Amino acid sequence: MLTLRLTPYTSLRWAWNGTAYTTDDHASEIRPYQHPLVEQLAISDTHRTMLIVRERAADRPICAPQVRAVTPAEYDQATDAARRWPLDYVMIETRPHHPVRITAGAPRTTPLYLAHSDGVLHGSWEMADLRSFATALSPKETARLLIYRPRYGAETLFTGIHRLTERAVATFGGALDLHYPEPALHIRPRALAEDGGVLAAFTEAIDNAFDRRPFRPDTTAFHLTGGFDSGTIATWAAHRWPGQLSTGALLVIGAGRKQQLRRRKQLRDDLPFGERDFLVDCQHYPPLHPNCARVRGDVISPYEEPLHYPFAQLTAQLVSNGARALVTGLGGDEMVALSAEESDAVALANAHITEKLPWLGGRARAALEFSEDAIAPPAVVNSMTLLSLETTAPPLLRVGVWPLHPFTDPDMIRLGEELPMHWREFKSLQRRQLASLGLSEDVTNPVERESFVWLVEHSLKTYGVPLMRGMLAQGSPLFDAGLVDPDGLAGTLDELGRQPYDEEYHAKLLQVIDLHLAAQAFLS
Amino acid sequence: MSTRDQEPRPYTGLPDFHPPMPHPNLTSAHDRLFTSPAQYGVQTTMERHDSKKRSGSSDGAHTYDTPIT
Repeated sequence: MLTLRLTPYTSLRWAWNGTAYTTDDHASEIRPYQHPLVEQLAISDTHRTMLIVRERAADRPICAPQVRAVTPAEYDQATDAARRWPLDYVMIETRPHHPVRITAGAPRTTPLYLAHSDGVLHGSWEMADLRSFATALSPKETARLLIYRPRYGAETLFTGIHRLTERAVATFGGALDLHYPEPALHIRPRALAEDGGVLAAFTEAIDNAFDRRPFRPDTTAFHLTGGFDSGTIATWAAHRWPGQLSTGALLVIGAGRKQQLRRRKQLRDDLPFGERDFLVDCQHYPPLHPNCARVRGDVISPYEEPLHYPFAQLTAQLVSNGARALVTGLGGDEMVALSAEESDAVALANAHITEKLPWLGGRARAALEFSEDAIAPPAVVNSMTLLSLETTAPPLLRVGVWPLHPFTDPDMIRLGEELPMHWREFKSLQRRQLASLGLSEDVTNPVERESFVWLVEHSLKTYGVPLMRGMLAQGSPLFDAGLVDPDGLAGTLDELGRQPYDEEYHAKLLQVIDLHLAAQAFLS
Repeated sequence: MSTRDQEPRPYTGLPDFHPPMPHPNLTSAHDRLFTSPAQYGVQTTMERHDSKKRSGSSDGAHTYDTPIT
């Protein structure tokens, strides 16, 4: 939600200039992201200054951004109170002759990456802004990403660029220290009352998630993919704001395509959505196409959308039709997730993760021993959800759209954790909610699998294999660093032409390509 | 949800640093659902990083998977 440049041990007398906070010597600057859902405010007791950029809360007037003079006691009270802001925020504290401190809020709706050089700390939601600070590939993070076993933490793919994780504090003055918070506690499933109104509690939690922010339905688009998560959110929102909401999705290819079209049509016909629906057909915009920004060589964070090209098309359509915010179903899986103790399905879902990938380089393989080191403690929002928010935010912010994720609201998370297993397995909560709206069996219990797996297969075979052949011919930072084994990769490509495609194995080659493209863009 | 169309005047008092008041009925609505007390715990690494299903919005491919029951 901001970019920053902070130089401790300099003037640190701040003022607001209409678009940014700057110090009188211009050695430091904080530039908030300009959006109706974001605000900024600041106080100073002449010695200490606290500046905060945060998501706006509903039913609160817009705050004046000018730096306000306060007493030391007022400064302490305001700073303590500001840390309890329930929506996302970034707080910066400066003080003469002391390091600067940056604290992140829990929701992490948008990421903040940090890097430093020559006594200056730089930060941005756009990793490309910090390209010059990327020095090398992190073996540990590269390995985790290659085997599809990500871990949420301060470490990114590039040494020199750090992630400020949820509730963490960055202290910079000479060196950069990133301090994780205490673990967020999570609730175990509870016994349900016989007459427990679960669906009423669910819709109440969705309403509360909507009501925390002052968004406008006429400029807010909703994902409506056909999936249960975006479907639950969007249908309840349409019920609440009839005739106002525009929707959008990517149309899959493969076995589930006709079903997705049919189910989406019923969702839109049966619920009072607005007239505008934006459906991007992935067969026309496959990932890894030469027109994809990543493939063209644009500096794109490795953490952004794997399906960058089709999502960019969808976002462009939403923006050209007036969207300033986008509501997603991200976090829905995690809300109703079963534990490994509750179900073998969890073990099955993770069974595809393996270190036995022939393209995994020796240095990556060795680094996996340390893959759990220095990762963030349990977060308020599930770590996998936080990583998925990070894939979504930068492409939206680039075009002026703020992301909104109701499933990440603390009350939604809590409700999901407390529900007994029979409400969570097979996403019964979401299915029953959709059924309660009168939607058909086709919508609530689809038979075909609606998935991007066929799109990924098509993209890899059509565009990915030539890209990887190009890597083998021209080289890659991944090879140079011993993180991907070129012989293993070449052998896999040769086999791919002779053997059936295995979606849980060959699809992992997508990450090889994305990391290669990111490494070339950032390190060359 | 606030549906105000016009921009309010900027508010300059310190109360704007304070978080909004909690929703008045939320806690009671949740507590009416359950008969056992809330028990808090620390998640394991796997609990907070597990893939939740065979493929889905948590994974890199961002599938819309709708698993067959």
